[in-house]
Amino acid sequence: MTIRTILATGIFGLGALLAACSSDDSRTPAASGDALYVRLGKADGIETVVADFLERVKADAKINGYFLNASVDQAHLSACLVKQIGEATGGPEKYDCKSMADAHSNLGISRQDFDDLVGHLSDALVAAKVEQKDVDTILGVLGPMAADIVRDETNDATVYQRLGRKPAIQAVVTDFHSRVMADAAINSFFATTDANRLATCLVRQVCMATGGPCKYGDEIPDAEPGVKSACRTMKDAHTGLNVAYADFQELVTDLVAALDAANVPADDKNAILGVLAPMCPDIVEKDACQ
Amino acid sequence: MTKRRAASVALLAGAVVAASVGYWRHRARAAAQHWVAPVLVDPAAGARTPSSEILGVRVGATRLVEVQRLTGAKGLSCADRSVRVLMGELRDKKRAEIAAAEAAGKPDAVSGASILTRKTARDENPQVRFSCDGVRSGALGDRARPEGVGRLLYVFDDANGPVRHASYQRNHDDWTAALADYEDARRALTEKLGPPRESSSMPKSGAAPGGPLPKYGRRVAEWKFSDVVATVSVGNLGGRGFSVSEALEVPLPLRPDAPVR
Repeated sequence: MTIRTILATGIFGLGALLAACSSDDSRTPAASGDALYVRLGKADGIETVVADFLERVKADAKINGYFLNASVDQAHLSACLVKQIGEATGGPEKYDCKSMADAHSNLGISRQDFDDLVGHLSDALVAAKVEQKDVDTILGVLGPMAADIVRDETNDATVYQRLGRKPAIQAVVTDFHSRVMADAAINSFFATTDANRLATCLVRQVCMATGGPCKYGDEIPDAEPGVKSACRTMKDAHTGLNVAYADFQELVTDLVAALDAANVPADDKNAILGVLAPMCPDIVEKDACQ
Repeated sequence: MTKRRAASVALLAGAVVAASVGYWRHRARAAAQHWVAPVLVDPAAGARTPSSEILGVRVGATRLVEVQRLTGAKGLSCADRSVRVLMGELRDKKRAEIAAAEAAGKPDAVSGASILTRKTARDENPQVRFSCDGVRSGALGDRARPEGVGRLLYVFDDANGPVRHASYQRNHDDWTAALADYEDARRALTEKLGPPRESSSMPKSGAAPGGPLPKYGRRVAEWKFSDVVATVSVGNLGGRGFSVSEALEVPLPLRPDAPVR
């Protein structure tokens, strides 16, 4: 996924708004000319809304996987959003970032991702004291554009979506971590590890492995708990430690137990473990993985 | 108060605040870099295990030297595979890499060499993981068992305390053999501990009883007492055969000698 593509993910909702505005002048925010742009507070007001919107999105584990990757140029993302809203609401800004049409084809954005993002835009507009009729106008033209953006209308195209996105993965990882720490056979490997960093890296690993938007190894320093630097590859993290295959098996057993406890369906469990199990050779050195 | 005096006071206050922040950050960092022993507790009220004997030891009582004597007498190849020891091996490996690089005239070619001088919290963890690899089931000698080869593991909180965890984990290529091994271990522990609570990810319907576990499926028999937990499990390794494990341990944060107190 390119930086531009990830960037475009963040602005898909507002891109749809732009598209809507340019396609039907009789009912779009642009139709009210400078009025809406002025009512939003012009560039300064829009920048405030965008900043708040991005904070809300990045704090929402359901969708922040699209944004919390170091390869996303946050400043560029913010600038594009301001341009987009400015132009869409009749301001002088010119949107010159990547077109929305091309941006979303490979992201697997689900209906619930889209709805959550729209919800945060709505909240940011309301928080900026934008009148409800203007919020409704903006959101009213946004909704129909989902067809151009959403690639997973039923929220089940990937294991990531079926599991329940990052919050569900976080719950599984929390359970998994507690099982490992209670497992006398292997807990010493993790006893002195930064629990927050371990959890964040595990969540990102499973998120990516299940078809989610997280990019393991592409972490933004301090954006997520415990992560001051990028999560290391399995090989880097375990080189020289001579971890035994039996220990790896024990770890997998704890993960299976956590997935079972979360009632993850067999096919999805197989998909997750099918991605993680081949990492065995990067972790185990003492014995060859069988 | 003169402007100069006010400025001095402000400067001093700023220095104190900065020093305090630095001190607390340093303490937080230092705490993260040191091993912190768990706070151990006595078992809660409830049924105690009728027996903590397994794999030739009495969990909660048998000491490391006795385990070393026991495994030595059986001719098993065992060693401490604790994370502390593994860190030592990592340093040995790094030293060898550096020596090789220096011999090749590339002294800067080794990355991660700082580990040689940097002690980590892992180095302070006193746990002993006495591990015997490639152990044939017939060599265990505690009871007649189905044929199998696996890892025998005894875990101690430290070199002086009683064994906290004992387990024997072995793999089978064949489901029939794995199931027979699982059933045998379950039967043996049931005789000692009573009926287990059993859970399984076996197909609920449409599958023959005793048929293979689904991929990554598990079947677990568990005995829970206030002082120990015992488990026997069989798991499908997803195309890599089947794993059978039997284990008995004093769960954290109970004190390791809980079964004999």
